[in-house]
Amino acid sequence: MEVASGGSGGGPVKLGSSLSRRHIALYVAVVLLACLCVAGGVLVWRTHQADERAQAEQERYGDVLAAATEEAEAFINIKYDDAQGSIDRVADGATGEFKKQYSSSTKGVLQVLKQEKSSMEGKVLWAGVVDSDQDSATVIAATSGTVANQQTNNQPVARNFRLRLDLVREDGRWLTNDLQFVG
Amino acid sequence: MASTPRPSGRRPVRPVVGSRNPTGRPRTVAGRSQPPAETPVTPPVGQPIDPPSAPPPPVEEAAPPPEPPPPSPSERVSEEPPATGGTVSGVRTTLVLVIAIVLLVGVAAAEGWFLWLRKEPVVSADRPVVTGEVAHRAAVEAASQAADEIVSTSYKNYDDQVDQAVAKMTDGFAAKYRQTAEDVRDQFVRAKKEVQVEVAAEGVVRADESQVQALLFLNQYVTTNGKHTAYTPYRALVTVVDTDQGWLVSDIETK
Repeated sequence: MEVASGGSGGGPVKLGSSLSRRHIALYVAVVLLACLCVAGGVLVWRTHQADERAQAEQERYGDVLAAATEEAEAFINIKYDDAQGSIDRVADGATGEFKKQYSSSTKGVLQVLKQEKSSMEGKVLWAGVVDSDQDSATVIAATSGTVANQQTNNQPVARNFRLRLDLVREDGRWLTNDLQFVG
Repeated sequence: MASTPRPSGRRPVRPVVGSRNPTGRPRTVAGRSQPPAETPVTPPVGQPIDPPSAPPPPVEEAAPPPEPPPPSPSERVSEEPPATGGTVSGVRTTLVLVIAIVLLVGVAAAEGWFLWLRKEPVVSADRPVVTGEVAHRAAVEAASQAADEIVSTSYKNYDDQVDQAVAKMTDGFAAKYRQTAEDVRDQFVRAKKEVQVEVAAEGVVRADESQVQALLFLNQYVTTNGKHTAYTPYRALVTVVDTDQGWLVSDIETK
């Protein structure tokens, strides 16, 4: 009887106490891990949001530079034998005052181009963003190219420009509303 | 210890509900593996099992606690399931907690993986600038000031200005610059030349955390022997790298 009593009384108590301690430790671990996961989740979410904002901003620089480069190259690639096409390409990337001014001078430009048999070719060497926000940007572009006309005896002569373009975003497109030579 | 013989014909005294185990009978504790009901129970020798039909006599609270009688098989059957249930419940709780821990560790590891292995964007045509505006503006401004100091020079203090200029350069570019400056030094000083530069415009071409390229429109004015001789507008692509000494010029390309 004594053996039976001790064996079936002390053991379970000790075992139950051990189990309770183990449960407490596990509960504590679960709570700590849950806190860690919540904090980590917040950090992941914030990082993801920041990455998306940064990506949108970084891609805006690419879009602005691409649009400015395209417009600048359209502007310095004018050929008398494709005068209307050359002017249309400039007008396609223009807006606002720049487009008005350029369009209003089309007739005179066409006449001069044909009269002088003028051809201008070039490309943008470097372009850099001066300033940019979601709807407007300013870009400077360094171009390298040649011009050939009757004054040059139709021989290509180097023409390098320093251009400053102001762009605005309209219907998802970056369009140039001002283009200036930087003297 | 001598056990008190139980009077013949009496059933074992059951503990009164709410009493603190007055019989001294071993308690059943959750988690303890008791033999299940089907475990053969051998009644103690000399203690015949009473027929279940015998009604138990009333037990007085004040009665001295008898020695714990061995439970009858029927009692074991009726009392042990709660003990087994508690054990199973405890094991289940442990299992649930362990599974929760494993899942939480997995979630934490995934979060850590996302944060640790997150790739920094690299410069490309689509994303030429992968730094914040404050960072690349500071770099472009540093490039502009450095270009001004590097290009502007005078025959009056030519060597000092060369020393000041190389302080704005990386070691590799400084070595090239010193060589060029040394090559033209005598001619420059003999002609009493002075070069002044102003930055007409500046913009960021490419930028990441460690390197920025800035486009500068420079207007250069040269005087020879005190007389203004030339104005030259040109373009410079200035590369600066981030170092412990700040943004230093690692290359200048002009056209």
